[in-house]
Formats: sequence, C-alpha cells, structure tokens
Amino acid sequence: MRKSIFKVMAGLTGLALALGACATPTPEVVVQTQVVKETQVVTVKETQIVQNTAEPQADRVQIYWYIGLGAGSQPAQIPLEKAFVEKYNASQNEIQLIPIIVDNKYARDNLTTQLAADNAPDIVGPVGTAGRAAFPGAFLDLEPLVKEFNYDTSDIDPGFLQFYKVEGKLEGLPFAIFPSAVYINKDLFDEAGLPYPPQKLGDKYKWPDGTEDEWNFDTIAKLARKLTVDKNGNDATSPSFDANNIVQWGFNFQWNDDSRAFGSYFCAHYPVKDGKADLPDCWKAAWKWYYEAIWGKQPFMPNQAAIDGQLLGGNPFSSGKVAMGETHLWYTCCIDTKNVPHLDVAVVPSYDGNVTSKMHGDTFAIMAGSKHPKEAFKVYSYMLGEGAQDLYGIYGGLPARTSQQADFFKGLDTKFAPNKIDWQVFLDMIPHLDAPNHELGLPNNNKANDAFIALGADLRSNAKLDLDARFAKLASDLDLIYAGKEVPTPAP
Amino acid sequence: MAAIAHETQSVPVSKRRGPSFVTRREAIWGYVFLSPWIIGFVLFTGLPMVVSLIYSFTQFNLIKPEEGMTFVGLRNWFQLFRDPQIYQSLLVSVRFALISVPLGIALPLGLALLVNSKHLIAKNVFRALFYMPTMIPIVATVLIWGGILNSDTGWLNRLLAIIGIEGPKWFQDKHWVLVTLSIMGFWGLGTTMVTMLAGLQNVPTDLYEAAKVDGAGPIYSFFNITVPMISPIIFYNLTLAIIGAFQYFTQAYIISNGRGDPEGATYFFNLYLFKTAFSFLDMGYGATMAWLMFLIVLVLTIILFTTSGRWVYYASGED
Repeated sequence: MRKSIFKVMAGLTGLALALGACATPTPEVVVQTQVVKETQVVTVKETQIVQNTAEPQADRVQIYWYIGLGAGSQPAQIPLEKAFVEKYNASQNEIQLIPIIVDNKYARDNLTTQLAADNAPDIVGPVGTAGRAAFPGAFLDLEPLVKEFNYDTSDIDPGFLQFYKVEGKLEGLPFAIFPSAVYINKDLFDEAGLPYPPQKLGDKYKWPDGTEDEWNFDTIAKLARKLTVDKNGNDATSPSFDANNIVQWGFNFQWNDDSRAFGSYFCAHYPVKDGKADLPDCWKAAWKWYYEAIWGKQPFMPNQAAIDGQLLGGNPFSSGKVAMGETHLWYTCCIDTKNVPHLDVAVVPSYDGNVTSKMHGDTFAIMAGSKHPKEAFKVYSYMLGEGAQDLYGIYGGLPARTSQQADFFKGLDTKFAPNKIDWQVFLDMIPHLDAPNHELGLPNNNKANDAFIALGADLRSNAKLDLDARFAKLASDLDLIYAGKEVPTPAP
Repeated sequence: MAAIAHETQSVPVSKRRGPSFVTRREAIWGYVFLSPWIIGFVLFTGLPMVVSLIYSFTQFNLIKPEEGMTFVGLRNWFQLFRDPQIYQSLLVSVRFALISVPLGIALPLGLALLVNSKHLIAKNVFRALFYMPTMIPIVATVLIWGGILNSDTGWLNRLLAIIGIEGPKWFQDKHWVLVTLSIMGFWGLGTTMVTMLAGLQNVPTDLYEAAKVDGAGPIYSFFNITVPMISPIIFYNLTLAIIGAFQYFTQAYIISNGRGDPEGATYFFNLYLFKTAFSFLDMGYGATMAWLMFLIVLVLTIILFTTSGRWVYYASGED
C-alpha cells in the first residue's frame, strides 16, 4: 500500500515537473517581467508580428508609444506610423521613439498585461474616451508638464480642454475630434439609378419618381433595401430576392460593433440612473432596427459571418460592396479607393426628428507609470504640434486646434483626389454630437462595456434572438455589474 | 557434499551504510545537470505559484499598484462558491473536454494505425504531412480555420452546399462552436499521432502472429492486443488531453474576441480567469480561480493515476 502511494506521488510529482517544463504557456496569474518588444503588432486579420524598426539605442532615451486602444492598428496605418516614428527619430538625438502596435480588439487586455508586469509604455494613443475609461487613474496629469514646458494652449477651445479632464486631472490635450456622417459609394447609387442622400441638414431624400421622404432611419432602410442585391441581381424588395446569397449590402454601421455606440445614433443617453441600468426606448428601437436590418425578411445589413467573410473582409464599406456606411471621420484612414473610387458623405439620418452624430474625441496620454515623463512630454508636444499634420493624415481626425483645420481638409482632398468630398458635412454634424457621450465611463466600466458589446455580437450573430428577453437580460446584467456583483452568462 | 555444503554456507552480510561514494557522486552530477531546469522551474513556475497563492488572499488593482494590496482573508475563496459564472465557465470547459478528449485520443490513434499500415505507400510522407500542422502557431491556425469555417464564404460550407447540406454557423451558433473548436484542434493531433505510432511500432509482432494462428481477426487483435499494449501511451496522452482541455484559452480568446461569444458558449474557465485578472482588474480573485483550476486538474489527474492500474498494461510488469 505504502509502495503504491509512493509510486502515485512520485508519478504525480514527475508529471507535474514534466508538464511545468513543457506545457504550453497559459495565463497564470503571476507577475512576470516582460520585455517590451518594439513594434509588436498583434492583429486579427493579419497574423504578422511586425519586427522592430530599430534596436534600442544606448545613447538615447527610449519612449514607447502604444498604439491600438483607439485607431492605429489597421494595416494601412502601420507603415505611415512607422514613417512618422522614423521621421521623429531622425529629427533629434535625445529620444528614440518606439511604437508598439496592437490590434484594437486585444489592445485593452494587452495593455493591462503590460501594466501588470510593471512594463507600462510611455505614451498611449490615439485613444478616445472609452479607451481611457478602461484604465481609470492610469494616466499622468499633464497640467504640471504643460506649465513646466510652457505648452501653448491658446488656440484650443477651453471646452475641449475640459473634455479631457477626468476627476480634475488633465489626461490628455485635445488632439482630434471625429464627428459622424454617412459615407456613400456613389457607383452603387449610379448603378441602381438612385439619387445620392442629402448633404445638408434638414434636406429630404428625393426619390427618382420625385417624391420626397424625411432623411431618417426609415428612409435609410427603404433606400438600403433597393441597394442590397443578391448574386442574381435581385434587390431586397424583389420577391425573388435570395437572402442567403447577398453580394452587395445597402447599409452598415461601419466598425461600430458596440450596441451602445450604434444605439447612440438614435439618441444620446447615459445608461445609468441611481446606480441601475437605464436603457432608453430609443436605444431599444435602434437595436430592433439593427436586428431587422440583418435578419428581417428584406435584410440590408451584413451579419457577423458576412463581415468576416471573403467578400467584405472585415472592412465592409471599403470592400466596395456596401452602398452606405455610417461612422466617424477617422474612417477616412481605411477606405480603399481602388474598391470605392467614387465616394462622398451625407448627413446622419434622424430618429424621431432628432439628429445625433455621435462624436469621438481622441488624444494621446502619458502613462502614470512612465519612467521618462519629461521625455515623453517632449514627444507628446511634437505629436500635437509639429508632427500633428502627419498624424491627422494617418488617423483622419479633425484637428482640435482651429489653426490646423484648413490644412487637414486639404490633406484629405489630396488623399481622395480626384474625388471631391463635401467635408462641410462633418463640420455641420459637430453641433449634433451626442451629449452625454456614448463612451463615458460606466460603473465597473470594463464589465459594463463587455455587456453592451456582447449584445451587439448577439444581434449580428443570432438569427433567432428573442429581442425583448435579450434586452431584459442586458438590463438585469447591468444592474448586477453596476453594483459590482457577478453576472452569469446563459447556460450553453 | 559436505565441501559443497560448506561452500554454499551463507556468509553474513554486513549492514549497508547508505549509498556508496560512487553512487553519491553520480547522484550529485545528475543533480548538477538537472539544476538548470530545476532552477528555472523554481524561479518561473514554483515561486510564481506561491505568489499567486498569496494573491488569492488579497485584493489589489492591477493598474494601480501604488494603492497596494489589501488582505481579505478567504473572501475570494468564498466568492468562488457564490459566483454563478464559475459554474458556467467550468461547464463550458467540461463540455469541451467531453468532446475534444475522446476525439483527441481516437483520431490520432486512427491516424497512427493508418500510417503504420504495411499497405500504405510512402508512409514517411504521410507521417510528415500529418505532423506538419502542429508547427503552425496557434494564432495563425485560428485565423486559417476562421476562413475555412466561415459560415457564408468558408469552403467547408460551400462544399456542403454542393451536396445539398446547409452548413452550420460554425462560430456563431452556440450549439456548434465547441465542436468547431474541437475540429480546429485536429491540426494539433500530429504530436499525439507520433507518440501513438511509436507505441504501435513497439508492439511485438509475434503476438499478432500467435493471435492469427488462433483464428483472431483484425478487430479482435486490435482490442485485445494493440490497445492493451499501447495503453501506457494512451494513458499518457489521455492525461495530457484532459489537462489541455481544462487549460484551453488561446483559440477561444481569439474567436470570441475575448468575450466568450456566442452567448457565453466559449467562455472557458481560463478565459474567465484572464478576464477577471486582466480586464476586470481583480487580480486577487483571478489568482483564486487559477488555484481552483489547479486543484480540479490535480484531482482529475489523481483519479486517472489511481484507476490506471485497472486498464494500463505495462509489458515490463510494473503496476
């Protein structure tokens, strides 16, 4: 008996040792020292690890720039970011700027891991309100550095400065704002013989037969159905339409997967009241509209599988197979003009008589754990000053500094030439920004955001969803999340 | 006879005083050569395990280390029993294990039998082909399978459509997604196949000949000769497969965007652990979950070892 027990224990010990030495790494909850590798790219569609552009140089201070919490990890942006870094490094001898680029889907978790390993990057950005809300208290208050370096904020709207303050701390200086609009693929409209959507607020949509409709989400749906085509050339209003073989879609909320985000196009709302979930009827209407657009009898929006498939390749509007894509100004970064040679923008549709053009406001932030905050601020100043035009070109943001806005649009005109895009649409949308902003931090922010994102995923993936039950579940889950309690997922 | 009896008289044996100098020296050299691995194990596995055990009795915010750790006693451990998500996530892991482990043993065994067959031409080519996918990184594997199994444009569903079958929504259907993950795991079966093949090739052929003489058919030979003779290999792979199933994380994290989509069907225990520690910033509770997983896997491994005596046959006579 003793011999058997000994053998069992010896075997277990040996197995444990063997597995410990040979096992595939799993996320043990430990603190590990991790070397930050330069220019690491973790992407979904492109499984490439982009090698560092330069080895750390002993005679310079290394400043690590973390990209991916907001924009910046798209394939089209990476070479431009590398060029920006090389240009900066060549312009001075004191600092070596090293980018770390992580796919947006994983950037938050990745950065948390780096922080846990006491390996915080120095600069993070561009990052919006949501990205910063995921790391409460992790950013440096910039006001002392602004004073120390006499940073000029005279041509920044004071209101924008307040926008970037959290609990009194200035977490970022205004870099760029990104109002929303509807991008339109003019070729698909021309092919269908349909007029383009309106570009002035208050204008109606004129149909080919001369009738007019208010430019709202009902009209969007009606129009998008005519622009959704199956492989036999039937549009979604045709009795012969084959919903299982759609080759062109009429509309999509481009890269707005979060249900709180696309809900905000219907109305602005902060979903917390007295510590409990407060989901407005307009958001539920938005979610039902969204679901019907994907799974209804006359669908006109792609589902998740279609978005991930070969036809749309994860970037629906840029594939040239989507007639209208509603999203932010930053999307100018990522449109392939070979697939969409003729594009323009239209105003955001209204809901219930109100127009809500949800807004993103990006900045760069310096991590509180930065080991070289002063050097980081020097880089920061360059990014928001001399280097800003290059960055606006990469990220497509409307400069927060009024002095830089004209040059920004000239840059976009050059980029999309010979297209003449009516950028005034974006400027007209600014006053209709969503207030409260859809990215404001929530109680137990990361879990709450996950719950909204999960609803969006369910709406895109589940053809048999009981919507009312699902909304009720979201509300009850949020009640628990806001209160800091655990939430079960449905039994699989 | 008396002389022989005298010569065979037993000589008292002096009491042993422990290992000899030579034996001790050999043992020391053995430990010296083992020491790099032992040091690495202690530093990178042993010590972190101890630290995570300490974490399990604390609460601290991962991104605010300046706030320090707060000792909370057994609160995190009691939380394990109150947290409904723990049970749901364990259920996901168990369901996955029930699908993937039997497949992870049967399929490599089948492949090993195939590539061991005397009728197969160019065996080495097939062995190499079956093994090669194991060298592809996991992330790349997931993305490749993402394309193959895309419910709209993936070639598997297109093939099924040709023969009139509507393919499932592999990644979006909560009833299929665990099967999908198991299918994706087939690419990693090369390693298991190789070990099974090694076992098959060590089965004495005279056993098959003797069985044939006695009139045994191939199926009888398989279950009564092959399987018992390679049972140690099966036991080894079974243990690893169970441990691997409960440690499953990377593929689920990628396809579900770290959220356990669709509808929590891929919210494996390890994924929940990762989210708790690194997304929801509750490192203490995450450490507790890690220890729970360790204990579960330890118990399962003990059960496997204690029951192995009934079905694992060691040709050398060890039990």
